[in-house]
Amino acid sequence: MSLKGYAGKILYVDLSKEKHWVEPLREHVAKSYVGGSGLAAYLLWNLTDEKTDPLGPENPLIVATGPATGALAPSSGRFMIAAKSPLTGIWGESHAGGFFGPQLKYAGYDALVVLGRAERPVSIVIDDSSVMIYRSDDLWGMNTRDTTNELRSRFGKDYHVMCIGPAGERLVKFAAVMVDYYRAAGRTGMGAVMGSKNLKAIAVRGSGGVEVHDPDKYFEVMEDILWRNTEGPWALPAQMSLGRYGTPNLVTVINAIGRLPTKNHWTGYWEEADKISGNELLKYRVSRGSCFSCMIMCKHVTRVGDGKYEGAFSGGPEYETLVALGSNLLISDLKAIIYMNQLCNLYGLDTISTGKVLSYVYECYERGILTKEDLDGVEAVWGSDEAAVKLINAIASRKGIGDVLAEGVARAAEIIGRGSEVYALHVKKLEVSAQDPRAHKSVGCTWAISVRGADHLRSLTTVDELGYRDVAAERYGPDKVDYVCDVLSEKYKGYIVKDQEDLFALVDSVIMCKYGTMWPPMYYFDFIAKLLYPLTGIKEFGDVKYLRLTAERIANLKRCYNLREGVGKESEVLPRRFTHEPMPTGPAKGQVCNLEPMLREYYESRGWDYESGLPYEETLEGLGLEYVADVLKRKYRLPRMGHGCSKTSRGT
Amino acid sequence: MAVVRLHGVLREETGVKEVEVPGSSLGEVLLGMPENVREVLERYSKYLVFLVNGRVVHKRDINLKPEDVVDVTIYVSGGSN
Repeated sequence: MSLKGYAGKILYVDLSKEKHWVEPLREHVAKSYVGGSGLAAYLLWNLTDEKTDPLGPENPLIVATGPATGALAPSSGRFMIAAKSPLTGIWGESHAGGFFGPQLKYAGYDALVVLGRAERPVSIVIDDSSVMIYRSDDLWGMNTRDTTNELRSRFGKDYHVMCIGPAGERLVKFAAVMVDYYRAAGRTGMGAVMGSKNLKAIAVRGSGGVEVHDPDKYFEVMEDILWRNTEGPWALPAQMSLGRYGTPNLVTVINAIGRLPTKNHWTGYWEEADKISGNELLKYRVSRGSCFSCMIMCKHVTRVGDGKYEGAFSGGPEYETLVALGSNLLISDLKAIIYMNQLCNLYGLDTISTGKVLSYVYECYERGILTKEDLDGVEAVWGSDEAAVKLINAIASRKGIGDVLAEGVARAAEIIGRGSEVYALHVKKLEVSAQDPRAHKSVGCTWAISVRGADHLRSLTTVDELGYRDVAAERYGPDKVDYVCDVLSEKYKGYIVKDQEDLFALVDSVIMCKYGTMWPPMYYFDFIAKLLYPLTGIKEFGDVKYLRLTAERIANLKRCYNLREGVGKESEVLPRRFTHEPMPTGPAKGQVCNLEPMLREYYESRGWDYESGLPYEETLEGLGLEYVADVLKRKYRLPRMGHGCSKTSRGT
Repeated sequence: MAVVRLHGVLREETGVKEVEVPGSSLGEVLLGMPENVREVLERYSKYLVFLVNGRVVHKRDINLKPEDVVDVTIYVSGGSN
C-alpha cells in the first residue's frame, strides 16, 4: 500500500489451526475507518454476528493501532483491544498506553487479529515478521508481573508484553489485560476473551518505523505540539496538575463540585476525600513516567513503606481506582488502596468494575440483603479494607461468593436477587465509572448512549465541567455557552455528547490520548486534520468535514453493532439511583438526572429516530453504511426520514 | 468571612489546605488571604478556577455569605477561561 503512516498489514493468528498469515490493510478501509477503534469496529462487524459466543473460539481478539501510533504524534503510545464483550454481550473495547502499540506498528502491523482457541496455554511472540505460537503451560497461573518478567527474560528485555493474570484465566467477566506491568486495558473483560482462547500473553518487538508522507509539514505540526506543551497557554497548568499528580489530582476538585462517587454512589461528596487526594498520594510515589511520545508524564508508581501493606508496589492508583476502591467503599487508607490496586493489577482485574461490584456487596450487606454467611464469613462493612481484600481474592479465584461476583454486578444481582438489583449500578451491564449524573448532568447522557456501557471515555464532555467557556463558545456558539457550561443543566447536553462521541471515535481511531483531547480540550477535529494529512498522504483526512463524517461513520457502526445484538434504546437507561434518588449531600444536593431531554437531543443530532430507537436509513446511507443497513433490515424495519416512524420491530 | 480551600499545586506550594478569610465578596476574600497564599495565586493567576459552593464563578465581585465555601484550583490539566 502506498499510504504512509500505516504499516499496511494486518496479522492474523489462528490458534486452533496454529497458523498465521498477513493480509493487506485495504486503502478504502483505512480511508473509511482510519485505524484503531474504527478499524476494529469494521473487522468485528464482519468477523462476528449475533450468534457469536463472546467466550467461544469464534470471537476474535483484535489488537489495533492507528496511523498516529509510533509516529511521534502527541501521546501516541496508545493501542486498543476489541472483541464482543463477555461482560456485556455487546461491543467490547479497551485501550492502554505505554509502548506496546508502537512496537506492534514497528514490527510491521497495524493490527493483530487472534482467531480460534489453543488446545493448551500459549503466548504469541512477534519479532518483526517472525511470529511464534509459544507453549506457555508453565506461565499459566502466574500473575501479570511474573508473566511479564518471564517472557522478557526468555526473549529479551526489549519485548513489550500484554498478558492476563489468574482472573483472565478463570474467565472473570471483567478481567483486564495488563500491558508492560502497569497499563491496563481494563474495561469490558478483554482479559476473559484472552483466557477463553488459552492465550496467556502477546509479546512484541519491532525494528521498523513509520513512514511519513510529508515530513516537513508533519514536523511543523510536531513543533506546534511542542509549543502547546511547553509554552502555550495549556502548558503550565497541564504540567502542574496531570503532570505533577497524575489523574489523582482530580479527587479533591471533583469532590468540590459534588460528584465524587461515595458509598456506592449514594452521594457525590465525601468529607474524607483529602485523605485520598493527589497531594497525599505523592507521599507514596517512587517514580514517574510517561507513555511513548508524551510530554505530560501523568504515570506514577507507588509503594507502601510500612504497616500491614508494607511492600505493596504498583503503577497508579489512578483517579478511577482511588474512587472505586476508596471513596466508593468509604476506605480512606491510601496504603490499603495501593495494596488493592496492586492486587487487581497482579490478578488482572479491572479496578473500576471490581470496586463497583464490591460497593454493591457492601450496600447489600448494610441493608441485610447479603449476610456474613452469604459472603463466606466476610463482614462487608463500609470502610473495611480487610473485607475488600478478601472479596478481591475470592473474585480472582472464583471461590465461594467470588464465583458469583466474578460474573459482574449485573449478572451477580440477577443471581442474588432479593431486590439487590437496584444497588447494582451499571448501564448495559458495564459497571459505572467515577462520575455522577446528578452533579454533572451530561454524564447521564454519556453513560446511557455509550456503546460499551456506563463509561467516561467514549463521550465524556469536559467543557461544561469546570467552565471552559472559550472552548464551549468556539465549538457550540456564544449563544449556547451559558447552558453548555452549566453543569447542572440538561439543555444542549445531548448535542455536545454527540459531538464528543464523534471526536472520541476519531481520537480512538487515530489513536491519541484523552489527555489533550478531553482534559484539557486542546486538540479538536481541525488539529487532527492538520496532523493526519501530512502523516498519511490521504488528502481527504485534511478535510475537517470528511473527518467529521468519518467519525460519525465509526460511531454509527458501533451503535449498529449493538443493535444487531438486539441491544438498543431500551438499554439506554440509568440506574434508578441517579434518576430517582436526589443527591443527599454536597454541592449538588437535591439534584437528580433527567435523561429524556438529553437523549432526544442526542438522537436528533445522531440522525436516529427517537421513538423507535433505530437509525434512519438515510443516515446510514449518507455514511456509506448501506451494508450495515442491509443486515439490520433483516431484524428491524428501519425508519425513513419524513415517512413517519415505525415502532414495529421484526425482532428475533 | 468564607472558608477557602486550595487544591493540588496551590495546596502543595502554600502548605495551606483550608483557611478562613474575612470578606464579603470573592475579591475581598482573595485580598484577605495570607501573603504566601496570595503570592502563589499570583504566580498561577492566568490559570485559576474559582468555585463558590461547588459552582464555577467568573466574576470576583460576587457576594459571599459567611457559610459559603470557596474552592481555588488551577484548570485541571490546563485550559483557559
